Amino acid sequence: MIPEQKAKLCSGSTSRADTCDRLSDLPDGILHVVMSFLPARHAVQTSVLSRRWRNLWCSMPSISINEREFEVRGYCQIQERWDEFEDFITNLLSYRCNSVSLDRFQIYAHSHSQQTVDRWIRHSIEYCPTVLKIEIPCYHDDAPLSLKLPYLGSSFCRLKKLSLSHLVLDNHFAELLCSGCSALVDLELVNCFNCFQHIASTTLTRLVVNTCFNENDAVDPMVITAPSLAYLKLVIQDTIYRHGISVCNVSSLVEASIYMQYNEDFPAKYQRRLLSGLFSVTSLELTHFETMAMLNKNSDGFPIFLNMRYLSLESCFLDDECDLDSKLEDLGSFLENAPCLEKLTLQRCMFCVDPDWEWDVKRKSINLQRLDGKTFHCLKLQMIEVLYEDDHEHLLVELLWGLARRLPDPSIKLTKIFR
Amino acid sequence: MSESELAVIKPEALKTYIWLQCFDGSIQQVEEEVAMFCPMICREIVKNGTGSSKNHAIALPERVNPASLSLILDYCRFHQVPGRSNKERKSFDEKFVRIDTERLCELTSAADSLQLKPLVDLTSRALARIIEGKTPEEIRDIFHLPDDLTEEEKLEPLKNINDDPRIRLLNRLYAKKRKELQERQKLKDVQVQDEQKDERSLDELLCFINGDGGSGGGKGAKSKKKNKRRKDHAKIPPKADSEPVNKEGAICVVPRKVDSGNVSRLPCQSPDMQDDVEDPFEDADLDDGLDPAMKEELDRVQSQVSVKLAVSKDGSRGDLWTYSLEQS
Repeated sequence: MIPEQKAKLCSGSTSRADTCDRLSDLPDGILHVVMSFLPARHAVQTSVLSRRWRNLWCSMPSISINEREFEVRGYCQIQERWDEFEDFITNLLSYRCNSVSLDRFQIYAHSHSQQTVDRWIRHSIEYCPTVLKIEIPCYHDDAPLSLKLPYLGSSFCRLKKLSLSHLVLDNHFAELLCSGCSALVDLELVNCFNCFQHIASTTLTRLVVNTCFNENDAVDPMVITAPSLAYLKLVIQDTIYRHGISVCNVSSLVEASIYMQYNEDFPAKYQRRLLSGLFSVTSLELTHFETMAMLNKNSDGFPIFLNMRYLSLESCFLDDECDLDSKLEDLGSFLENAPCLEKLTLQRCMFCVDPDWEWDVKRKSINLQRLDGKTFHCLKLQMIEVLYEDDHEHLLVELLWGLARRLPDPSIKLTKIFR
Repeated sequence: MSESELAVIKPEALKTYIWLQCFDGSIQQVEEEVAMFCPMICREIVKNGTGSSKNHAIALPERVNPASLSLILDYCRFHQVPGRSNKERKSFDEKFVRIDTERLCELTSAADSLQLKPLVDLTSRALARIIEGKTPEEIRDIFHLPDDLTEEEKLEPLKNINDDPRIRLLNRLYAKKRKELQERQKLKDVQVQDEQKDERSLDELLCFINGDGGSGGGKGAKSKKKNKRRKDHAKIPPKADSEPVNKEGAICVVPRKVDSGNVSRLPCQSPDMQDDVEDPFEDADLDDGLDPAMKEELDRVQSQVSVKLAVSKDGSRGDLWTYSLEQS
């Protein structure tokens, strides 16, 4: 700090009278920001603090409803508390000042009383929020989802960020995305029941589809068309995409992360197609991709990842039939498609290690054969990081040896991860 | 200056400095890249060209006092460096807001007037964290808020500042309901003391519930609407009330203490109605003040009561038989 500033700090801010209320001096807007970090009940309770705070809650532009505040837990237990919670929220929404728009609306509540929850959501949507986050979990894991997103088309015009969890979404939703949400930038779908087959939005830059249940008998693949998309994350588990997912026209994609739980639910040829659609990424994370999907053998238009600088592979190349050598060759040929790659991260690749299984292999010596296969030169690749959990020395050593022979340019870093 | 003199000048002196003037008149200079991190200052420099010399220092808004300013500049100085990782920034932020509440408020105010939104969010979040989980008294204590609400005002139910007549009506009805609940509570307290053990067998009870009529029985209802209507004809003070049966924590059902009108009824048909039940089928729901939220409740309570009965079939919970049936 400049000496003058230091001097000012020391001598400055003379001790004011202790009874000075700095908090209430803040303008309404700031107090609203403070209240927006408080859950709804607490925010309303600020009305008893002082006269200044009395009606602040009425015009607060951010409402965060959380049933945990009322300790509503489990269907079986506390009916009273749900009623209390319900009363409170209904009152809150009714008494709010109508003229104040809602910037952020967030709700976490079990679908205890679907009609009521639906009414709250409708009510809030009518205020044209910019950020909407709805999470309506079910009490039982296999209870069917039934709450739908209400379609008040014109009210979504200001919406920038939408996060939905445990809702049923159908074609109306897809249409809404396409035409009704003209400002939507961030979309996150978690644990939803998706009965639609396309996500199309010109404004979307961030898309997350996490563990959503896809209609089983869908005839078409799920198509994602988002020309402005910069970040894509797909977590495919507990559902089947028989015809895969494809991304179209996502040339501005910067980062993508695709996680698949089981290969069987997503056929290899569609994995490959999906991968080809991601050609413009700078950073890519793949989990559980089949080797066949990553091979260039047919060379039918498998694209070059021109911009890719960071690649992270987890649980790939795990075919038991192939030996390590051919797996490394496959890896190498895949890497050839990424001429600008700078860093590669491998986790649980090449060999399958079950932490619960005690590998009782006692080896006295490990024989590392000289590999005469093709070496791959990735000019820009500087580092390969291998993440490992357990020291199955022989497997790890073999892998390192293989990597060093096949991809001789980069340095290799071993990092142990602790679970 | 001669060349040799130039060579002696330290590199730092060649940095551009911006001059800032606080409301109290004190002027200080700060590196340009640091100052540019603040949108408001940035705009002043770019649009108005001020700040390049001591005489043309940028006038900062009133709410920015020197102490806050130096904190803000520290913040800017740290964050404007592009190479920092997210972890580093987060950890800096956490330490940054560990100051006393008074300075935190001033800092928030200053950041707001300089339109430095990330800092406003950071400080507001810190303030919210201080407020969260504390009682009003504690909060007033920490922030020195004046306790200027009357006792009545504190206890008043949430008021409708728009004075919507529908809401006023709702308020009245809620008040009425509250009063009724209190009365029932009193009655229940009296009743609990002398409540007899219910000796009737399950079958008997089911019989009479199913519409054998008779005294002291519940009334089967044809529809839930009827139930709501009954609330308004509160001629029948309920004797048996729904009591939380959660004593064993086993089957879970805790029907709320509700009005007579919402007392759960077994969903069975009964030809036997009390005569003061009107024909309910065309009632206006809104008038009851019992919005469909009540309907939900009724549904739930109804289904739950049947569950209760099912469990108690083994008779082991005979003494816990408090079923929410209205008695005449």
